[in-house]
Amino acid sequence: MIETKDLVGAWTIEAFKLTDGKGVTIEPWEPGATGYLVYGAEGHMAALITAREKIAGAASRTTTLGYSGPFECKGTHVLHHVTVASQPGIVGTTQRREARLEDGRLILISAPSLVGGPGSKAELFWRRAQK
Amino acid sequence: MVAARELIGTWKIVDYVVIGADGTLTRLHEPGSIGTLIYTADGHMSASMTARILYKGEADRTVFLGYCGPYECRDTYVLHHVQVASDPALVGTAQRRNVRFDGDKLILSAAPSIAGGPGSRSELHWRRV
Repeated sequence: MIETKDLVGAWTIEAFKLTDGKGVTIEPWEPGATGYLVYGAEGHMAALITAREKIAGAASRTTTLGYSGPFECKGTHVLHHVTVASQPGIVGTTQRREARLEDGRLILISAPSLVGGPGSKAELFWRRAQK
Repeated sequence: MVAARELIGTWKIVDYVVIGADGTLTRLHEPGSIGTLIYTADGHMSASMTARILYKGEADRTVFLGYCGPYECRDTYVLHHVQVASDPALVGTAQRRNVRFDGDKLILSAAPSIAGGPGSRSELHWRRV
Protein backbone atom coordinates (compact mmCIF):
# COMPACT_ATOMS: atom_id res chain seq x y z
CA MET A 1 0.00 0.00 0.00
CA ILE A 2 1.20 3.45 -0.85
CA GLU A 3 -0.42 6.54 0.64
CA THR A 4 -0.31 10.21 -0.25
CA LYS A 5 1.53 11.04 2.97
CA ASP A 6 4.38 8.68 1.90
CA LEU A 7 4.87 10.65 -1.31
CA VAL A 8 4.21 14.28 -0.37
CA GLY A 9 7.29 16.49 -0.72
CA ALA A 10 10.19 16.61 -3.15
CA TRP A 11 12.46 13.86 -4.45
CA THR A 12 15.60 13.84 -6.60
CA ILE A 13 16.62 11.12 -9.02
CA GLU A 14 19.25 8.60 -8.08
CA ALA A 15 19.13 5.91 -10.76
CA PHE A 16 17.18 4.48 -13.67
CA LYS A 17 17.26 0.77 -14.45
CA LEU A 18 15.65 -0.98 -17.36
CA THR A 19 15.11 -4.74 -17.32
CA ASP A 20 14.15 -6.47 -20.56
CA GLY A 21 11.87 -9.49 -21.04
CA LYS A 22 14.84 -11.86 -20.57
CA GLY A 23 15.78 -10.37 -17.19
CA VAL A 24 18.80 -8.42 -18.42
CA THR A 25 19.16 -5.10 -16.58
CA ILE A 26 20.87 -2.05 -18.02
CA GLU A 27 21.29 1.58 -16.95
CA PRO A 28 20.20 3.52 -20.04
CA TRP A 29 21.57 6.89 -18.92
CA GLU A 30 25.07 8.25 -18.59
CA PRO A 31 26.03 9.40 -15.06
CA GLY A 32 24.92 12.95 -14.25
CA ALA A 33 21.20 12.74 -14.91
CA THR A 34 19.12 15.25 -12.99
CA GLY A 35 15.54 14.74 -11.96
CA TYR A 36 12.99 16.20 -9.59
CA LEU A 37 9.69 14.74 -8.52
CA VAL A 38 7.26 16.80 -6.46
CA TYR A 39 4.03 15.66 -4.80
CA GLY A 40 1.84 18.37 -3.28
CA ALA A 41 -0.30 17.62 -0.24
CA GLU A 42 -3.44 18.69 -2.10
CA GLY A 43 -3.00 16.03 -4.79
CA HIS A 44 -0.88 17.38 -7.64
CA MET A 45 2.48 16.14 -8.86
CA ALA A 46 5.21 17.19 -11.25
CA ALA A 47 8.22 15.33 -12.60
CA LEU A 48 11.15 16.67 -14.61
CA ILE A 49 14.15 14.65 -15.76
CA THR A 50 17.08 15.55 -17.98
CA ALA A 51 19.51 12.81 -18.91
CA ARG A 52 22.00 11.79 -21.54
CA GLU A 53 20.67 8.66 -23.09
CA LYS A 54 23.21 6.03 -24.19
CA ILE A 55 22.75 4.99 -27.80
CA ALA A 56 24.46 1.88 -29.15
CA GLY A 57 27.07 2.77 -31.77
CA ALA A 58 26.34 6.50 -31.61
CA ALA A 59 26.88 9.57 -29.48
CA SER A 60 24.56 9.90 -26.51
CA ARG A 61 21.78 12.43 -26.76
CA THR A 62 20.11 14.67 -24.20
CA THR A 63 16.58 13.76 -23.32
CA THR A 64 14.13 15.83 -21.29
CA LEU A 65 10.88 14.54 -19.89
CA GLY A 66 8.58 16.68 -17.82
CA TYR A 67 4.98 16.27 -16.86
CA SER A 68 2.48 17.40 -14.26
CA GLY A 69 -1.06 16.76 -13.11
CA PRO A 70 -3.26 15.36 -10.35
CA PHE A 71 -2.20 12.09 -8.74
CA GLU A 72 -3.98 9.41 -6.71
CA CYS A 73 -2.80 6.42 -4.73
CA LYS A 74 -4.48 3.07 -5.43
CA GLY A 75 -3.23 0.05 -3.56
CA THR A 76 0.43 -0.43 -4.41
CA HIS A 77 0.29 2.03 -7.29
CA VAL A 78 0.25 5.76 -7.86
CA LEU A 79 -1.63 7.15 -10.84
CA HIS A 80 -0.33 10.30 -12.51
CA HIS A 81 -3.08 11.98 -14.55
CA VAL A 82 -1.03 14.04 -17.00
CA THR A 83 -2.33 17.52 -17.85
CA VAL A 84 0.92 19.27 -18.88
CA ALA A 85 3.86 17.53 -20.54
CA SER A 86 6.99 18.07 -22.58
CA GLN A 87 5.80 15.30 -24.91
CA PRO A 88 2.34 16.16 -26.27
CA GLY A 89 1.57 12.43 -26.70
CA ILE A 90 1.25 11.81 -22.98
CA VAL A 91 -1.10 14.71 -22.19
CA GLY A 92 -4.45 13.23 -21.15
CA THR A 93 -2.95 9.83 -20.31
CA THR A 94 -2.74 8.20 -16.90
CA GLN A 95 0.79 7.09 -16.05
CA ARG A 96 0.48 4.18 -13.63
CA ARG A 97 3.49 3.39 -11.46
CA GLU A 98 4.03 0.77 -8.79
CA ALA A 99 5.44 2.68 -5.80
CA ARG A 100 7.71 1.10 -3.19
CA LEU A 101 9.50 2.65 -0.25
CA GLU A 102 12.81 0.99 0.61
CA ASP A 103 15.43 2.42 2.98
CA GLY A 104 14.16 5.95 2.52
CA ARG A 105 14.16 5.58 -1.24
CA LEU A 106 11.11 5.76 -3.42
CA ILE A 107 11.09 3.31 -6.32
CA LEU A 108 8.61 3.89 -9.13
CA ILE A 109 8.19 0.96 -11.48
CA SER A 110 6.45 0.81 -14.82
CA ALA A 111 5.87 -2.63 -16.28
CA PRO A 112 5.97 -3.22 -19.12
CA SER A 113 8.30 -0.33 -19.78
CA LEU A 114 7.35 1.95 -22.68
CA VAL A 115 10.73 1.35 -24.31
CA GLY A 116 11.46 -2.24 -23.24
CA GLY A 117 8.52 -4.18 -24.69
CA PRO A 118 6.61 -7.15 -23.22
CA GLY A 119 7.93 -8.54 -19.93
CA SER A 120 10.14 -5.53 -19.35
CA LYS A 121 10.16 -3.07 -16.47
CA ALA A 122 11.60 0.36 -15.86
CA GLU A 123 12.59 1.37 -12.33
CA LEU A 124 13.24 4.94 -11.23
CA PHE A 125 14.97 5.38 -7.86
CA TRP A 126 14.38 8.61 -5.92
CA ARG A 127 15.66 10.13 -2.68
CA ARG A 128 14.20 12.96 -0.61
CA ALA A 129 15.45 16.27 -2.01
CA GLN A 130 17.88 18.21 0.15
CA LYS A 131 17.75 21.98 0.42
CA MET B 1 6.51 40.31 2.98
CA VAL B 2 5.93 36.97 1.33
CA ALA B 3 5.53 33.92 3.53
CA ALA B 4 5.97 30.34 2.31
CA ARG B 5 2.53 29.44 3.66
CA GLU B 6 0.97 31.83 1.14
CA LEU B 7 2.65 29.97 -1.71
CA ILE B 8 2.44 26.33 -0.59
CA GLY B 9 0.06 24.34 -2.76
CA THR B 10 -0.70 24.01 -6.46
CA TRP B 11 -1.43 26.80 -8.91
CA LYS B 12 -2.51 26.86 -12.52
CA ILE B 13 -1.66 29.57 -14.99
CA VAL B 14 -4.36 32.04 -15.96
CA ASP B 15 -2.37 34.73 -17.77
CA TYR B 16 1.11 35.53 -19.05
CA VAL B 17 1.85 39.10 -20.09
CA VAL B 18 4.87 41.27 -20.89
CA ILE B 19 4.70 44.96 -19.99
CA GLY B 20 7.12 47.01 -22.08
CA ALA B 21 9.23 49.95 -20.90
CA ASP B 22 6.59 52.27 -22.41
CA GLY B 23 3.77 50.50 -20.57
CA THR B 24 2.41 48.60 -23.56
CA LEU B 25 1.08 45.21 -22.73
CA THR B 26 1.64 42.14 -24.85
CA ARG B 27 -0.23 38.97 -24.04
CA LEU B 28 2.13 36.09 -24.72
CA HIS B 29 -0.42 33.55 -23.90
CA GLU B 30 -3.19 32.07 -25.92
CA PRO B 31 -6.07 29.98 -24.72
CA GLY B 32 -4.64 26.51 -24.52
CA SER B 33 -1.52 27.51 -22.67
CA ILE B 34 -1.36 25.47 -19.52
CA GLY B 35 0.91 25.48 -16.57
CA THR B 36 1.21 24.08 -13.10
CA LEU B 37 3.23 25.56 -10.28
CA ILE B 38 3.72 23.57 -7.08
CA TYR B 39 5.29 24.80 -3.84
CA THR B 40 5.77 22.06 -1.24
CA ALA B 41 5.81 22.52 2.52
CA ASP B 42 9.34 21.04 2.61
CA GLY B 43 10.71 23.96 0.61
CA HIS B 44 10.79 22.83 -3.01
CA MET B 45 9.03 24.08 -6.11
CA SER B 46 8.23 22.91 -9.60
CA ALA B 47 6.93 24.83 -12.60
CA SER B 48 5.69 23.09 -15.74
CA MET B 49 4.19 25.02 -18.62
CA THR B 50 3.28 24.60 -22.22
CA ALA B 51 2.53 27.89 -23.87
CA ARG B 52 1.72 29.00 -27.36
CA ILE B 53 4.21 31.81 -27.61
CA LEU B 54 3.60 34.64 -30.05
CA TYR B 55 6.88 35.65 -31.63
CA LYS B 56 7.11 38.80 -33.72
CA GLY B 57 7.55 37.86 -37.36
CA GLU B 58 7.47 34.15 -36.67
CA ALA B 59 4.84 31.47 -36.66
CA ASP B 60 3.40 30.76 -33.22
CA ARG B 61 4.88 27.75 -31.60
CA THR B 62 4.20 25.70 -28.56
CA VAL B 63 7.03 25.45 -26.09
CA PHE B 64 7.47 23.49 -22.91
CA LEU B 65 9.26 25.06 -19.99
CA GLY B 66 9.87 23.21 -16.77
CA TYR B 67 12.13 23.78 -13.83
CA CYS B 68 12.43 22.60 -10.22
CA GLY B 69 14.45 23.20 -7.11
CA PRO B 70 14.43 24.60 -3.59
CA TYR B 71 12.82 28.00 -3.05
CA GLU B 72 13.10 30.69 -0.41
CA CYS B 73 10.93 33.69 0.42
CA ARG B 74 12.65 37.04 0.96
CA ASP B 75 10.89 40.33 1.54
CA THR B 76 8.58 40.80 -1.43
CA TYR B 77 10.08 38.15 -3.67
CA VAL B 78 10.72 34.44 -3.95
CA LEU B 79 13.96 32.87 -5.16
CA HIS B 80 13.75 29.68 -7.20
CA HIS B 81 17.09 27.88 -7.01
CA VAL B 82 16.96 25.89 -10.23
CA GLN B 83 18.39 22.38 -10.01
CA VAL B 84 16.66 20.71 -12.95
CA ALA B 85 15.36 22.53 -16.04
CA SER B 86 14.19 21.89 -19.55
CA ASP B 87 16.45 24.80 -20.61
CA PRO B 88 20.00 23.89 -19.54
CA ALA B 89 20.91 27.59 -19.22
CA LEU B 90 18.66 27.89 -16.17
CA VAL B 91 20.34 25.14 -14.15
CA GLY B 92 22.28 26.58 -11.23
CA THR B 93 20.65 30.01 -11.49
CA ALA B 94 18.41 31.67 -8.91
CA GLN B 95 15.25 32.89 -10.61
CA ARG B 96 13.98 35.89 -8.68
CA ARG B 97 10.27 36.63 -8.91
CA ASN B 98 8.48 39.50 -7.26
CA VAL B 99 5.33 38.27 -5.56
CA ARG B 100 2.02 40.01 -5.17
CA PHE B 101 -1.53 38.90 -4.68
CA ASP B 102 -4.57 40.30 -6.45
CA GLY B 103 -7.72 38.80 -4.95
CA ASP B 104 -7.28 35.05 -5.38
CA LYS B 105 -4.50 35.48 -7.96
CA LEU B 106 -0.80 35.01 -7.35
CA ILE B 107 1.24 37.27 -9.62
CA LEU B 108 4.91 36.47 -10.17
CA SER B 109 6.86 39.07 -12.09
CA ALA B 110 10.35 39.15 -13.52
CA ALA B 111 12.12 42.35 -14.52
CA PRO B 112 13.45 42.93 -17.03
CA SER B 113 11.55 40.38 -19.05
CA ILE B 114 13.77 38.39 -21.40
CA ALA B 115 11.20 38.80 -24.15
CA GLY B 116 10.51 42.49 -23.50
CA GLY B 117 14.02 43.99 -23.17
CA PRO B 118 15.29 46.79 -20.88
CA GLY B 119 12.68 48.42 -18.65
CA SER B 120 10.14 45.70 -19.27
CA ARG B 121 8.68 43.12 -16.97
CA SER B 122 6.83 39.88 -17.46
CA GLU B 123 4.01 38.68 -15.27
CA LEU B 124 2.66 35.23 -14.75
CA HIS B 125 -0.78 35.11 -13.15
CA TRP B 126 -1.79 31.98 -11.25
CA ARG B 127 -4.86 30.68 -9.43
CA ARG B 128 -5.08 27.82 -6.95
CA VAL B 129 -6.36 24.62 -8.57
